[in-house]
Amino acid sequence: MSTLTPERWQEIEVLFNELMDLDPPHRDAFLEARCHDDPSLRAQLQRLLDADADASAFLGEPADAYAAQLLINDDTPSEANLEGRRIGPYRLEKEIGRGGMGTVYLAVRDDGQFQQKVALKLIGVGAHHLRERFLQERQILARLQHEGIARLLDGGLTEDAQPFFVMEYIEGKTVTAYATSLSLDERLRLFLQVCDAVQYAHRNLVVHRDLKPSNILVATNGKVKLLDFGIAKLLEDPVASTIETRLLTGTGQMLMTPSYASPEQVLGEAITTATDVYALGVLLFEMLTGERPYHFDRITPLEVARVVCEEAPTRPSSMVRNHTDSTEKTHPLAKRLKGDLDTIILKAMRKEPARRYGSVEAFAEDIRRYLGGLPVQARDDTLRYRSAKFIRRHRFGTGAAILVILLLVGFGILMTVQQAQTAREAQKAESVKDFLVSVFSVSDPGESLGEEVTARQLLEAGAERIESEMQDQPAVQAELMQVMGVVYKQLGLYDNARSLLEQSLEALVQHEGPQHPDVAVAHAELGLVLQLQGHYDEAEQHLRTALAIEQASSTDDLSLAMTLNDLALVLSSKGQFDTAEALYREALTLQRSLSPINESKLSSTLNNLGVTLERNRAFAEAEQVLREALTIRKSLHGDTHPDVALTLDNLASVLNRQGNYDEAEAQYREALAISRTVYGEQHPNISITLDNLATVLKRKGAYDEAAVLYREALTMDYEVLGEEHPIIATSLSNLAWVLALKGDYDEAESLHRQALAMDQKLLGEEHPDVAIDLRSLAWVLERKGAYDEAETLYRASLELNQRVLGEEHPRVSVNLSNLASLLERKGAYDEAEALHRQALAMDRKLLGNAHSDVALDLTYLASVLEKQGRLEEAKQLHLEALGIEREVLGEDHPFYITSLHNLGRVAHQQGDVAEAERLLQQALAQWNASPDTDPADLALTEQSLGSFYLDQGRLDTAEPLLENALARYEEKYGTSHPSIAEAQLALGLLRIHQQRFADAENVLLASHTFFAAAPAWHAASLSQSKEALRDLYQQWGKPAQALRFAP
Amino acid sequence: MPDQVEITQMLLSLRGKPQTEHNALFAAIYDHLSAIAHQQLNRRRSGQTLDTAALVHEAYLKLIDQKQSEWQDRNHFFSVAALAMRHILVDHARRRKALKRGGNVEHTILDEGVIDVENRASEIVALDQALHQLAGLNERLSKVVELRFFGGLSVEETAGVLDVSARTVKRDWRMARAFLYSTLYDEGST
Repeated sequence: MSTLTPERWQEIEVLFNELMDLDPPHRDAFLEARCHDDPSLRAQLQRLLDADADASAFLGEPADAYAAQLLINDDTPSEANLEGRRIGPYRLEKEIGRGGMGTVYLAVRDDGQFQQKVALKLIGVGAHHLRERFLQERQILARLQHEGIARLLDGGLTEDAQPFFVMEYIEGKTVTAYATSLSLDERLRLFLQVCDAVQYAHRNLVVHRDLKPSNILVATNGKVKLLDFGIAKLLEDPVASTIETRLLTGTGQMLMTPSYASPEQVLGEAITTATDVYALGVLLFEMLTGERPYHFDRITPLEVARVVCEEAPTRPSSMVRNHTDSTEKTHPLAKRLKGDLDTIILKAMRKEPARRYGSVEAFAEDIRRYLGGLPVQARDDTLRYRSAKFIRRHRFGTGAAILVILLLVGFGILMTVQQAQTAREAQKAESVKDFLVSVFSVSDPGESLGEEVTARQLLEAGAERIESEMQDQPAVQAELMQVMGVVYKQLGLYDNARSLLEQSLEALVQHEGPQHPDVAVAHAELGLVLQLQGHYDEAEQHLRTALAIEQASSTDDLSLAMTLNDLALVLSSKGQFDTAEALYREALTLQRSLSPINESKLSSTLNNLGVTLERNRAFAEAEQVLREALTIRKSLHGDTHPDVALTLDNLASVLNRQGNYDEAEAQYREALAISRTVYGEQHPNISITLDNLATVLKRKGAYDEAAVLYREALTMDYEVLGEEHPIIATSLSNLAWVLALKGDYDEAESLHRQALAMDQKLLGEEHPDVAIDLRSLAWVLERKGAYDEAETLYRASLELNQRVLGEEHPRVSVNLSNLASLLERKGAYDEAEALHRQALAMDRKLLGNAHSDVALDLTYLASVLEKQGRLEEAKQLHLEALGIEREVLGEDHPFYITSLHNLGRVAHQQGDVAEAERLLQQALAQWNASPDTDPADLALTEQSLGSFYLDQGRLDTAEPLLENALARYEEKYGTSHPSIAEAQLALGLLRIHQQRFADAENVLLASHTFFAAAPAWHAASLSQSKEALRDLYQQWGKPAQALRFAP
Repeated sequence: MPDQVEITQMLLSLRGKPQTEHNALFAAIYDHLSAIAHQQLNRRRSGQTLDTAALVHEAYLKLIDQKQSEWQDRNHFFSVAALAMRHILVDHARRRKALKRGGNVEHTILDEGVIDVENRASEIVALDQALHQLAGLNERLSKVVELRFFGGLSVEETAGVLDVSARTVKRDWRMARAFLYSTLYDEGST
């Protein structure tokens, strides 16, 4: 608008403002009326109107982003022209490059002795943490001597405390620029040079971490030189933890080059040689296609993270095809890339480090095999991997074959239907789709492996046909993509499902508009797949979109209810149980209002609501809802059906949480029987149910059977999941716990150690599960009497949890309690007391005063005080615990009764005879009155009461109590158990008083034999049993025997 | 750099005087804003954004003795500060562009992230030129953009500084935005 005068502009302003006040449809008429004699005025106004329409986001935010990017690091010394300046013995000659990390100068070392051209890199980011690390690493990096690696010569801090590195100066081009002039085979050979250098560094335990074209030069002699080896690690801020800080330096620029950053780098996970393998994959991609594999709409940390971690890279061959107009000339390249090279590159670029090439060597070997015309290993591996995964997840065979036929028939039907385009026909199409999908979800287990692969290949062919043959029928194509997408989802092939559903969604939006009911379905299906992949945020977004569309349009209530149900499922996965519960209830209300009711879907929602209610600890209602779901499912499918097994499993878990172990056990057994019938011998669902059943049996004290079942689950996990898997680590740990409860500490220790090592390897050192493993192992070691190692491990677990979960967390409090109990065992009562108090304070803060865990903390603390003889304080704490338990758990809860017992025991020690008798008798009565009493609990109270009467000299009253206690323990634990030995000791003391010396000797020797062989944990009991035996033989008149049991 | 007392005095002494006399105040505020901005950015190593509005307000609190100044002084300060911020950014952008041209040879360590900055530098310089053009047509429109975009002021604060209604600021903003957008992004400029 250069010809504008202020006068003309004033005229424009007036008219523009009037136009702004008009609704857009009326603006043309206004322009026509006011500017009909002045076309140039009209044109100017039109331009402004167009600009206004486009500019809504323009200047939308203040200049913040500009300010940060332009200002930072700008007036600092590095920004000013430093040419000519000296840094140490180096004189900067000229700037030769600038990037996210800093500025590179060509410099000359001239300290009078000799002259050497070097590249000096001044780092622009904060330097505080660098000095020490630099000194540590410099030695290692300087040792890297390989013709393909530019040597690190020196480095340090400038006078302004800015770090700098000095490297061999290389004249040359970047590897990608150099590659453009080469043939495909020459490029591959050039790439192999890069691999050699990286491989050498890996053998020397150095990972590059920042491989990208600008760090890989080809010198004038055609030799590759890698720059900046190990520098990225040096610059990584150990405290930086957010995506932002990892991706961005303080300069507001990317530290990593987004296309070359691996998912683990973006996510801040462990960096290994696999990270370099990934970057090499990207490099080869770019060297061969001239393009980078990902496109970023915006270079923001979140966008980069999303793309790098979630988007599948384009196949190199498609990239070549897409990016050239003259298809004829480049098709040969696409052809050569398609197949082996595509596969090799994509294998190197897998999102999961473990699925990439195991080493740069293996990567290079495949390139060499390709160059030598041999079959590459990547291809083979992919097929095997995918078919293995496929088979593992879905043991369907004939079912699949039938399905493929149905699917093909279905295509035909759908197409006809779509052409008819009546509502009735469309509905039919829906039913066909539902039918196809339901057939797949209940496919028949147990077939030979070969056929399954064939089935999968047929499916893939089907998907390809949809893409190639239906292009002229976009609506049908979108519909079929959706069908296929849902089928893939049922098969657990989530990547394929997602890609098809995304395409389908896009097409539907384009053809039907964004508000169409079909679009809502597409959003919902895509949301479910994302949910299964664990992308909960995106899943939620799609389901909320679906919901909004359905709520705005008059969608039928069933669809709406199912969308609510699905959304609730996602929210539940995100841990938002309250919202999930509300949505399930809303869905349920809608479903119950339907006529006729869709029973199958109603049972799904009931099942889901039940699980969420359990999470919300509304056990009674959860039980009721799950029983209703179970009834419906049994009437729909009969007693033997996967859905029935699932609901039984959920119901059992609620019963378990309610402490109703007997019924829980029965339901788990039924679920297990069904699963074994339905899935065959091995299936993840079977192993889960086995594990759950074993846990109930453990609670019931049936340790032997629990151990058997845990072992079976474990064997199955090994078959299904391979040698190492977090689930296997959990199973190992479960088994170890039950073995420890049986007193088999040696095997328990060995299993816990395996679980620990596995979790450390798979999850990394800093993971809450590792803390659990450490704690469990410590617990066993404590029982074995290895107090020192146990203490070390308890402390490690505590510190890990404090780092990972924060200073205040329920698990931290458990750690504190464990450690305190150990210290108590070691006699360090003061520290034990302090830690118990800390745990107590934390639980009070986190859980409130009225929580059973707080009562437990009180009980532990009281027990330390008891040991110190601080009986009155202990009594007060037991009383407080009792009050909480009464309020929270009720008077018939085992914890309440145990507290009664504890109070009675304290009263006994305080010499408050009446109170002690009253409390212990009450505890005894309540144990006897409750049908679910654990015999061990009852036995302990009988023993305490028996010992009390023994002290009172009421031997006849004590006798049946002590005899019963021992008998109960023997019945529960078999022959050898600490509790049995304790009960024998108590009974032995009575027998001495009764002058029944032979009987006394009998039980006391048994007790002593156990404690003598037992770990140091039982030292106190051992000395008591010795004392009792000495006493016995003295009274019996056999002092020589007594000598055998000297302290 | 002048301290708080001096700057407050400068501000007070300029009451009612024409803009041309504001050079010393402008220079002082320019230096301070620039310094605060760098401090902030250095403090937050990962801070890739900078809150210009907060900067301007922080500068005001830091530089001006609140007890002595009045409402119109505050407005006056914001007006100068927004101008200073505009100059700071444009100056840096020009320098950045000049450096880029000064260029390099054999190995260029330019990554995807950096290109963005270079674009931003060009955008800011172009925006500055277009604002000059706009000021020639209606100075208030360019002032509105300066205050809101560079100074980070809200509609109400901008209205206060310019002594017009909020509605006028909104209208001016829309008008100015359309002009700038069409000037910067239309290919076939008339």
